[in-house]
Amino acid sequence: MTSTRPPLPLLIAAAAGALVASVPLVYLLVRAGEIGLDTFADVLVRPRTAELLVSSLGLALAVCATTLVLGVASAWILATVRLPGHRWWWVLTALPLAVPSYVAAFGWLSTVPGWSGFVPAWFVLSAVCVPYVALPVGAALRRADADLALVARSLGRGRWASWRTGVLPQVTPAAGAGTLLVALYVLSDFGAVALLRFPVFTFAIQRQYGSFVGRDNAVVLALVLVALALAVVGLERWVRGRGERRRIGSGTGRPLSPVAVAPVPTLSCVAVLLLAPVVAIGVPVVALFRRLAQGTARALDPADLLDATVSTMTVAAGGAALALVLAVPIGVLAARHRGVVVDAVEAGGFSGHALPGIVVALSLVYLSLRVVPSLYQGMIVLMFAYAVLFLPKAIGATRTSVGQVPPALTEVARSLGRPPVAAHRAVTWPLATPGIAAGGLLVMLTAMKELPATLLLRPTGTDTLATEIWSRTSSAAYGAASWYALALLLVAAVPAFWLSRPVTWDGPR
Amino acid sequence: MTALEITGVHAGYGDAPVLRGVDLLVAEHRLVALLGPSGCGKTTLLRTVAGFHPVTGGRIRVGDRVVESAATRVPAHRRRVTIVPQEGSLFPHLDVAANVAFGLKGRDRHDVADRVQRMLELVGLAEHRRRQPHELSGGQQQRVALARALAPEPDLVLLDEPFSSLDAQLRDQLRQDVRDMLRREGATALLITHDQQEALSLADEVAIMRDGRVRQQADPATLYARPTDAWTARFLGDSVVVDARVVGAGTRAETVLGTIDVTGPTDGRSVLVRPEQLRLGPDGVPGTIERTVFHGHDSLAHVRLVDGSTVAVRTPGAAPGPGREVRLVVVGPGWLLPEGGDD
Repeated sequence: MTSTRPPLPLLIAAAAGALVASVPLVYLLVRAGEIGLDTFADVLVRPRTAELLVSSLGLALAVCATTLVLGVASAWILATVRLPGHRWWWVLTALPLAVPSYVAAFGWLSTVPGWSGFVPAWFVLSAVCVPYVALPVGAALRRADADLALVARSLGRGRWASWRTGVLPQVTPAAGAGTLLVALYVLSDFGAVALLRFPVFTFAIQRQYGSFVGRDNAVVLALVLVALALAVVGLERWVRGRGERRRIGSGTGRPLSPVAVAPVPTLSCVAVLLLAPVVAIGVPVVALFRRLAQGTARALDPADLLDATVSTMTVAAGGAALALVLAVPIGVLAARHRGVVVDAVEAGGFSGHALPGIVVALSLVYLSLRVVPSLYQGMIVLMFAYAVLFLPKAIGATRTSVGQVPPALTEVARSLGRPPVAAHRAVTWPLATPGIAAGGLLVMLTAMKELPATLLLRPTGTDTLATEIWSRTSSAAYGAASWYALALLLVAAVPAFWLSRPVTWDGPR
Repeated sequence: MTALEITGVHAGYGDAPVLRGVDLLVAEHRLVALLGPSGCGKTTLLRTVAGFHPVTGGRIRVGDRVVESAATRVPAHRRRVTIVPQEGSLFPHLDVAANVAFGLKGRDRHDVADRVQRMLELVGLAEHRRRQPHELSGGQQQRVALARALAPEPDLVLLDEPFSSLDAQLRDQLRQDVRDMLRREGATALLITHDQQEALSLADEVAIMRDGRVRQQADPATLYARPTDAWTARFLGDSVVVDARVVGAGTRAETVLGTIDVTGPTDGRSVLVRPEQLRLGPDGVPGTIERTVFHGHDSLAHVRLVDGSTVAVRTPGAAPGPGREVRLVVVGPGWLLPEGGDD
């Protein structure tokens, strides 16, 4: 039973967290307010801006279309075709999630030197993003009631028509929401498009920021990007909301079961399943090892690698700790209470979901320069950026963990003589802590892979694995970059993948 | 002495009233069942007594303390009222002994150990003290939940449909065990249930709740034989309610079942006869069997009378088949239902 009126201290703590999380967005708006309308108009009507818009939207659309087709096909194959080692095919399908887009791009760049423009950006991002569609559709198919299609056939519909009326509507919301997450990913992505030299908004914002005259322009472009991202988030919410209304009954219908098919179709199915993992991981990892084997002019200094690894972990851990401090009250509030205020607080906490890393970084650069110049290029600003960007993960983990503790337990504790706070300490806290801690760890691991905000905000003289990869690929020191890329995959990407697996596979729970 | 006294309690959610003036008494060391259909407000009443839902009017007294009224609101943890929720709700991170000891915080260590041991022996799970809750069966979990609720010797134990999630055989056994355990411990308990059999077979007293009010509170036999109105009669079990015209000194009434002995308020216009009071035989009013429902130990036969109405008759074993002409007589007095109160 969810009580409606949250205790005041909790509400205040959560609202404070949400306010802090909206600082980058709010300051971006404040900063934009200081820009003259003529600059605004000037930037917006520039042909360059229209080009950026076409490139960004074009890339997002192309990647969305590709991942939609490939993702639904993969999920459908996994749900209906019996393959040896079934579970491992699911792991393989999810694996591209583990690869930061710039590592995949780097791998392809060292395989096909000089490859640049729309095609490679589309190619690499599509492969990396397929799991965003395949996993939720797969989960929906596992929940889907196969009997609906049988009922449709028994009522005289043909094979295709009964699939369309019986199965398709059950997976459409998942496919739609997944595809919009892909759109958000593509709009926010910086690493792949920058390495592959395809000018989209994120890339242009970083360029403008780098040139002294372009800082106002960067803010205007960032606002346009935020507007696009918010539109995508809004669409995603809408699609998911419709999906939830569509689900009826207890959901205990018979799920689809995989059947054996002839060898030739099986092989073509395997080819479809292999496509994204090979492009996203197979080729890049092979390229990294090949580069290592070739050796480099400048030998790798193990001490540098160790330094970068340690500072990566330090900043990321700080960001994760900060994220937890902000997220726990919001997550608890969202798990236990309902209402307009609660929704608003939760939405504030989720603002990082719609903010591309480059935008958060840009806003925080200006804010720290203006308000606390001593903090500019300090660790704390970067940690704060991580906290805002990945706060949704921490809130989600808290909300799920606390939500899984039945309120009846704390009521029993209270009836047995524990005051409210003590009841939570004795019951809710020990039960929810493991899940919340795992959320914090996930934030840390994700932050270790973050590139654009790290580039803009890292303290002078501090190098992280991500920035080392970046600087070495820019200077074509591919051999040395390979070490850092492998280290990143080893310490951050793969653990993050394993940690987020159960949640990602079954969709949001 | 009265352990729980609920007087004129009103409560609701937002603008929707759920409790509309509930009166209820539970005497010390007694088990009272609060029986009502779903949505009648019994869960809300339990939550107000436990301290999880505020009242908007009326008063709740536990022992000699007012715990809830317009002026006072004793927080849940100071009420000395414990609960046994529907699913048991054992603390999943604590073993059986720690669950039972949860409400004994602040007591001497040896006292706690003794009390836990005693409680686990009471519920017959002494050898399971180191088990985790998920290693127990549903019935065992409920026993631990009861031990946990009884351990701090509360003034009142609230049982919230504690048997509803168990399968039928286990349920019967556990019901009787729980009643014995409560008796041996001398506990005062309020049992929430929507199951008539459960209420009638377990409780010292049954309170019938409907639409946010307690309609009638009495011992099970009285309640079954002398319900306050036709709705209560039907809610408690199969009923035959027929129009009646009281004759003589109010001890006889003319009905479609013949002129029969009656008791109850003499202004009654209808009379309740339970199906087990009707007998098929060679004498009595004539009728035709319309359909029968076979239950194994007995059958319920629906008999159409000459005036076109239908009455239910309980007969041992199998009943005659549909279409058979029968005669029936009433054994024992019918109960005159008070005027009004019916729907």
